[in-house]
Amino acid sequence: MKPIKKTSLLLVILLAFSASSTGCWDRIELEDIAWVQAMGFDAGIDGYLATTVQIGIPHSLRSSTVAGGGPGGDPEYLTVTVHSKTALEALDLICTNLGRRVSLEHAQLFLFGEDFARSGLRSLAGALDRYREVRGSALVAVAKGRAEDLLRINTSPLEVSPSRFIQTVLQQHIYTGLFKAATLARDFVNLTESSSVAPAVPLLGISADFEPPGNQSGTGGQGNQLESNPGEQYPSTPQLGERLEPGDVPPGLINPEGGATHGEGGVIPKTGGGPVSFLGLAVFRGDKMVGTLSAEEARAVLAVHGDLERASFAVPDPEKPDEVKYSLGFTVQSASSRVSVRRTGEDVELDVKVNLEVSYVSPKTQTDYTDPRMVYVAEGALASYFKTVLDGAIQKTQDMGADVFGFGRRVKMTFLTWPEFEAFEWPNRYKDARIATSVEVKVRRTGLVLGPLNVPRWEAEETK
Amino acid sequence: MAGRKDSGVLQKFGHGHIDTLGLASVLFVYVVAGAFLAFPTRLAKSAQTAAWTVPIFSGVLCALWLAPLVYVHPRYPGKTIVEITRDLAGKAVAAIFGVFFFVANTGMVCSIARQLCETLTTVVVPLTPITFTLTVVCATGIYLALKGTEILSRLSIIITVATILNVTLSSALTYHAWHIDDIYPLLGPGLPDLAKSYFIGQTMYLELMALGILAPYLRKRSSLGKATLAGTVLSMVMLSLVTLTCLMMFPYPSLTRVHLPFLRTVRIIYLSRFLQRFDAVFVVLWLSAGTLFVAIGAWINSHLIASLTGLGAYRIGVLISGVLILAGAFLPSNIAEAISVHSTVIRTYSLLLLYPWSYTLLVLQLMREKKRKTVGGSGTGREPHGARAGASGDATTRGGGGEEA
Repeated sequence: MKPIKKTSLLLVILLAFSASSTGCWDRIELEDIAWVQAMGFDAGIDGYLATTVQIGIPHSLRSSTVAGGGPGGDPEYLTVTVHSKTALEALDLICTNLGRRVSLEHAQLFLFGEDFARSGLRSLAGALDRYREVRGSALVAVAKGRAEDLLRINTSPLEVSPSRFIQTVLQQHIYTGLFKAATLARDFVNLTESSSVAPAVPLLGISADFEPPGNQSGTGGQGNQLESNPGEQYPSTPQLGERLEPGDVPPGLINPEGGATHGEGGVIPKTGGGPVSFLGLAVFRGDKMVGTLSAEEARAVLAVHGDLERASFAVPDPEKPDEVKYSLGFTVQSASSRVSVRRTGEDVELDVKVNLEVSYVSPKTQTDYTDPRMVYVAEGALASYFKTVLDGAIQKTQDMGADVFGFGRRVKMTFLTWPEFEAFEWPNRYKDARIATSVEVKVRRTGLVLGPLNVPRWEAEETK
Repeated sequence: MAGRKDSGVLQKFGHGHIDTLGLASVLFVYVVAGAFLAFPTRLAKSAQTAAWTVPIFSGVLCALWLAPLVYVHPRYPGKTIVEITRDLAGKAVAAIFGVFFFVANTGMVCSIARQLCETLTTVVVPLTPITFTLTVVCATGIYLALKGTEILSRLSIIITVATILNVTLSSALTYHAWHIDDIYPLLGPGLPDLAKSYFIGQTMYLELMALGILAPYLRKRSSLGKATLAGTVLSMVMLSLVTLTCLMMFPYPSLTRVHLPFLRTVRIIYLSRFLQRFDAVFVVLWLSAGTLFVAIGAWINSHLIASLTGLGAYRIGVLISGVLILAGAFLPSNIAEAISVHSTVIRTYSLLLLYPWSYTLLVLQLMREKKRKTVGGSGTGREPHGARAGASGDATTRGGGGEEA
């Protein structure tokens, strides 16, 4: 065949493939798709599944960021709840309602209502994991109350879209350690099958100070926040003179044994700000939610996992343990742990050693805890406090029979074969395991100054 | 086959040679292209937490049946394994082994092509009919196979480099999520079952039988062992790394139900808001490797057709095998059936091909050499009857200079 003929033939083939490829079956225009940002699941009527989707409205997002949108403008998202036998069925019904094909390709959060999570998520988790549009890196959380309620309110006064809020708020587990982010595939679905570690996902709740308006339309966004009509949302700045009264705060959050970080799922002693908070963990045994851990206990879980990257602790000062205002402030920079296992037949003894490195100490009294001769006192105070939190969290999970600390991973290493480990049934033995803990704290840095603030002698007498 | 006893593949087709790197790359691509499908899942089912060790130990065991081939092949320059069998064991035995090889190779390529296209359809183009994706992949594969040995070799080198980078980078990006205890208990199902997995696991290297067709094209005969070793070791490392990464991301027993674990692993990578869609790059490279796999499969089949039938034409063989692959890929009714046929029938029974064939050839070759020495020949046994035809020294001549020469 002559070269020119060959080239012509090649061109014809290429053109034929180009034409058929560009007009292929999967051509979908962007404006034909409704992009789901978050999806919630609750128990529906008569055993049905209540599926709620939160869908971004792109032209509103653009108007609020480019053309001076925001308060008073169009809502940035809408939510729809459909009751059906399966989530796929719900998506089909939503398509007919909205007039667009619903896509989960950009869904970032899957939220389960608390009651629904307690009834078991096996079938739903398996379906989500199987569906091609769902990414394993999407996040999962449990909502205190119903997921549909949480998806209907505007989650943040700072972000223009719920998806942006989901991204930014989940980064806060790195900076606070008050919850633990969990991805769908790796941290939830896989662990529901695991014999060595139980799943724990963040707990999301509506703040205690949030009073929902009487009549909500299901559309949200900042555009409706300042209006008193249907769709009214939470005002992020409280009214003048509005304040917390002692009776408004749950007891565990204000007594000396507790603290502001001991809440879970939206329970923060606050006024104003956003209506929802990620705090604490929902603990699962297999696919069923069996209990919760507070935000402070979530730090204990993260520390044992070696994932506690940063956390601020308020610890009773050894000199004034009963006075909250003298609490010692610490910023923990990193945590590591070592778990040793001794297994004799069916008895398991675990030795858990946690090391915390502290980069900031803030004493309130005149005692200089940065002094090398005194620093051990501050270290001991934090170590003692954290050991109490850690022991409490372990005991709670042992009572639940759910090893969210992953001690089973170490126990697994004492077996040579999988059938032996499986026959051992670690999830059933976890509650009987003897677990000894120790916490070591090292103060590496003390902040920008040495010693406490020098108070005049006549005033210092009062603070001694 | 009458009248062609002394002629080898180079005399029939003679379209180019490949060097050591090219041969190692072709072997690597042919072995590894299927690793991104249900391969780790299959290993996890049999070896549980020790799945990642199977590619290594099975690879080492492969030396047992590869070594005889590497020993025999250089003694028959320019000839395929079927032609060597014909010379050593006669037409009937050559025909039996040749047909068995052809069926195993075709079945393997068909099932992997089907799985590849089903996956592509599921993940990337869900509304596109499987007929379209399969036809495009097979047509491209046939086109590449028609371009000849050197093109396949050069493309394989490129795809090998891309695949190694792709797998290494994808594994490295998931490293932070690895838990070393996911490989415990170290012995998985226990020693007896693990040993069985290692033995059966050799069939994951069935593709290395391509050596029997590729060897005549090697530019430097003496480097056959080196090229085989390089291709095998590289495959062992990559297959083990893929399995290990999947095991760390989907710990046993989760891995046993995940159909495309490596693709899912790549989809889980989340470095930041804008660095989370690595699967777009992965799918392109994977599809390239898969298409090249089909091309190599068609190319091997065309040689088998020629060796079995005496057909002197190369292109018609590629077209026939291309049509067979396309038709065979449609036989399973769904992807589950394709996976099942692939793992329980084709791979398992290919063991019957690997060991008997290579050892039959080795024994016959050694007997022939011994006989020659006994008869009084001073030869070394390196140049048996008919072996000189079509080769000169290190096979640097172009055997005919073109197709159907």
